[in-house]
Amino acid sequence: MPMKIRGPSHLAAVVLTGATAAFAQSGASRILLCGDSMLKAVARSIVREFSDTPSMTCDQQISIGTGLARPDVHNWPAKIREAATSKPAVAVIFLGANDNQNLQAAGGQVAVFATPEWDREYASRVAAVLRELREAGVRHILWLGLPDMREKKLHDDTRRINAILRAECDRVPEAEYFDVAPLFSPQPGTYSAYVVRGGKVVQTRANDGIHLNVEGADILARAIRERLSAKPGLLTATAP
Amino acid sequence: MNRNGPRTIDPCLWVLFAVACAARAAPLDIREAAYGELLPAGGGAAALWTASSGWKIGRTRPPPTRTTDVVSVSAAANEAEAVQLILTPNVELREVRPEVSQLRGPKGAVLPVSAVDLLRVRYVEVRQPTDPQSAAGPWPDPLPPIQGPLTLEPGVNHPLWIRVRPPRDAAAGVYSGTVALAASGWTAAVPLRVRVYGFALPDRPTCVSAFGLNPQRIERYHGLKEEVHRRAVFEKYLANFAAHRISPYDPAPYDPIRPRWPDVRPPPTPWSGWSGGRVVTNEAGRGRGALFLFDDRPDSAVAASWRTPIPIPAAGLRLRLRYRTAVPDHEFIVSLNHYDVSNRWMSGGNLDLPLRGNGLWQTFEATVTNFPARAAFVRPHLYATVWRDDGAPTGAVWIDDVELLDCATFSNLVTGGDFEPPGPRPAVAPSERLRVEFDFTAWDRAMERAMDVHHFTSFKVPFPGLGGGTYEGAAEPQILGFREIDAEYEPLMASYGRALSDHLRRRGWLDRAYVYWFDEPAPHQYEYVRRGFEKIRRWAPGLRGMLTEQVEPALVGGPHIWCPLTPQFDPVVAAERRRHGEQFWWYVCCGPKAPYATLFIDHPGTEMRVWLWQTWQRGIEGILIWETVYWTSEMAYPDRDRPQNPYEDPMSWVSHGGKPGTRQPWGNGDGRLLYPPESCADGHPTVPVLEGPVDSIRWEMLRDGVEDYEYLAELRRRIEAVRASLPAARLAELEALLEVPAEITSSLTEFTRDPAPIERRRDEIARAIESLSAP
Repeated sequence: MPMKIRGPSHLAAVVLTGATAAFAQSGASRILLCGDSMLKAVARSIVREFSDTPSMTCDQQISIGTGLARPDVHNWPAKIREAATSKPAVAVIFLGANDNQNLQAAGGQVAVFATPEWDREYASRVAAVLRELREAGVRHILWLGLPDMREKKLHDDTRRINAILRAECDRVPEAEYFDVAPLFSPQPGTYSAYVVRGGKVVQTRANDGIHLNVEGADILARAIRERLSAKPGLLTATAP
Repeated sequence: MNRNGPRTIDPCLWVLFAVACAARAAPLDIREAAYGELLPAGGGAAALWTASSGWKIGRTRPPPTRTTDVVSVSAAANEAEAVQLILTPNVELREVRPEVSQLRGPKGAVLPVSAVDLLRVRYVEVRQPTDPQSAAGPWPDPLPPIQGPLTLEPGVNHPLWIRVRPPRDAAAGVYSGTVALAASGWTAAVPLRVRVYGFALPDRPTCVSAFGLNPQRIERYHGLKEEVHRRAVFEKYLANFAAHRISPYDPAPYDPIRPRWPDVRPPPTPWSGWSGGRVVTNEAGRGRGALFLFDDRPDSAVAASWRTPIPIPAAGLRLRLRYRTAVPDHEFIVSLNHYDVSNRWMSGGNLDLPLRGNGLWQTFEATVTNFPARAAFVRPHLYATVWRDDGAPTGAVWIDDVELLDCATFSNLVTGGDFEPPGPRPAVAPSERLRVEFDFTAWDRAMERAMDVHHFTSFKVPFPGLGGGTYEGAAEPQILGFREIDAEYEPLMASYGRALSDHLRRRGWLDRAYVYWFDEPAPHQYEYVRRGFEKIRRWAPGLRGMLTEQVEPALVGGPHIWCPLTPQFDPVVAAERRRHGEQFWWYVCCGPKAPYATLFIDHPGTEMRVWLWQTWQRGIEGILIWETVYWTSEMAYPDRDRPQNPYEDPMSWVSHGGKPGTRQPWGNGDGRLLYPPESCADGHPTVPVLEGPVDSIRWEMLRDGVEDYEYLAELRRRIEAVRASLPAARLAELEALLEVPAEITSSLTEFTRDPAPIERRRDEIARAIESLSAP
């Protein structure tokens, strides 16, 4: 009889039906990492951050050049629904630096960026992602705000996006908005490629003034771990 | 998070667990012997049993209950295939000497003793499981040769790896012989039967591979100081690669391509009077450039200095500059060093001017008229931080528009202080002088061996001047110091690319060569990376660039060969790129982990083999693994005299990025498909060790996978050769065999842990091949 490794959706069930004490440790906590290019370097750091904890598994859903603005290109709620079949305990979301563009609502009408209509449409898309994760049983959703940006217009635009992210997360008990900007900006609200960490100046941003570099990603990964570790029982759960 | 550490679990239990789970059976009886067959020959002293080479035999799992009389294996000619013979002694067996006899086949044909290797299956102690599906405990992996008699501990399993290699001209049929086991007070003879299929695998596999093989690590572990030894041992590694049908990135590390560059250099920059720091264009107080001083080391001081002492003007000096600190409140100094009339530095006579930044561009101005007695000359130094003898402070500062004015004449005594990148200038030499020539003599000789003796499928060629890097950082493209904006850059690069590709074409190697100049780019590097590949396309026609990244819109138009991580392969996107003549390889490394097919020691034995079926299933042409001899981590084992012993510590630890001694796991066996000989496992031999490498089960399974791929390719070739003459039903039947059945793998995360479905299908394909004449 062929023996198969089951896909993520089956894996959790397999872990429990094994019914041997020896395999109890297989009940891993899964972290689902979702995002665009902002997340790519950070995901690598998060995986490394948890690499000393084999009971933690990180699943990644990364799509470069996407955000919530173009569901015709990448439908994040649908992708998240698919990815969440692995029953993650935690989801970390980091995206949106491309989202400062007009949105086409489901009805076809266009919401121009930086208008109240745009804010409402964008908020509804954020809410849809949160809803998918809640319905998938994710116990904690950590949505990372966008850091300060070097280019002023992008910086101002991302502030607007962050405000919506924060407001939507505030409506959902399982969601937490994580304002990452203070980790990277010695003067809050002002872009800096450098921070002082442990008395040492460290470059944290890539040369494009948008993304985090490896050191920045490592700092964020550590901060994420600290945040998640502070939630009792969150990272010690076995798969449902 | 499991703070108490993992439990120790025998791998066989894990496998049995998988069996029960997949079958959705009743609760698992962990004593069940689910695979393998008991042989009658053991007698009372030991149980003898056999199992497929695709199983990782648990150290303490009990012998199976099903029985057989013979150890069997089948292979094509010019193929290698293994089977396991397991001894489970009831008492300690001493002086055990396994020997295999000649194998007699049809019509007097013989498989000589040299066609069979007997290897010992050694266990490594996994202390930290790779992922949640793994378990701590002893896992079988290294396959050292049997050197001298063995002492076998009772109550545990001692598998022997019987690897059969029928030569290319072996006649088809069944061959029979014996594995004799003799110990003090005990002997056994086990019948060995080898079926040789009626076809031979070609010397060069269809599946392309590109695997890392670091000669420096081999030299270090083997203790090789002399070139003749280095070459001899490396040749053994190459032969081992060839025997496993795997190609190294670089089969000629001791005979590199030797370009002879023209004797041209860029003219001095306007700021050539300054030394230290780095001129950048992504920050500027004014204009387009600034000098960047970044001190990120707590044990040194970073500064830029005017190179030559300046005579002190009678009316004094006026120092002006713009600066920006990377973070607010950062302090640094500008120091004027004084020299006497003999140009000797005057100790204790420095004038340090402290500055504090607010994180924005600021201006500093100071007049200096009070110089130390006897001072005749002055030199400005611009530090990134305040001065401390131990160099502890760190920080970053941009400097721009530095002026050191004579207070009387207001003439500027330093030049280039605006750090403005120069505009276009005439080339330093006519274009006919901007040509590179090559000495290919030694490289060609090494490559002839690589291509004609080892039959490698691919090799990497250098392409300097593109820049290069990884997601951690990228280097600016430049050749001989000429940057992209310089007139000399293009002719030099074009000359290199053209001459290299022409030579490869002449030698018939162009379609095996690839340029691997950037690794795993980050999204913000995509444009830079695409431009680099465009240069290869432009300047080295026909030479292929390979990128370890999935297809992304911003990269399209760059690589000829895409090499994503296995989970990142997208068949729809791949189909589109293939329409443009591009190819696909894929790779595994520290990721993915379970539930994907991986390279880890503490995973099922089938995974490396299944990977090749998944490769065929998607029409992927090649496989890549970053390293095969990653035996130690400089970060985890920083003492150069005491590197990691990979037999004792199976974890592949992260190589860099932390403090010395930091141990961050990549996964057990990542980048380590070969082992050093046991005699130099600690990397500290007293005499040079001239043996070849020690194989691993994963390395063997990989070869079996490449050979399975070859069966499929051979069947396809034969079908194509006779397609027109085949009845439709027979054609359909044969073509169905080119599909990968779901019982082997139905998705990247659904595949068999039992080698039996693979072996069954392989046998069906072999019989189909036998039924069709060779094209």
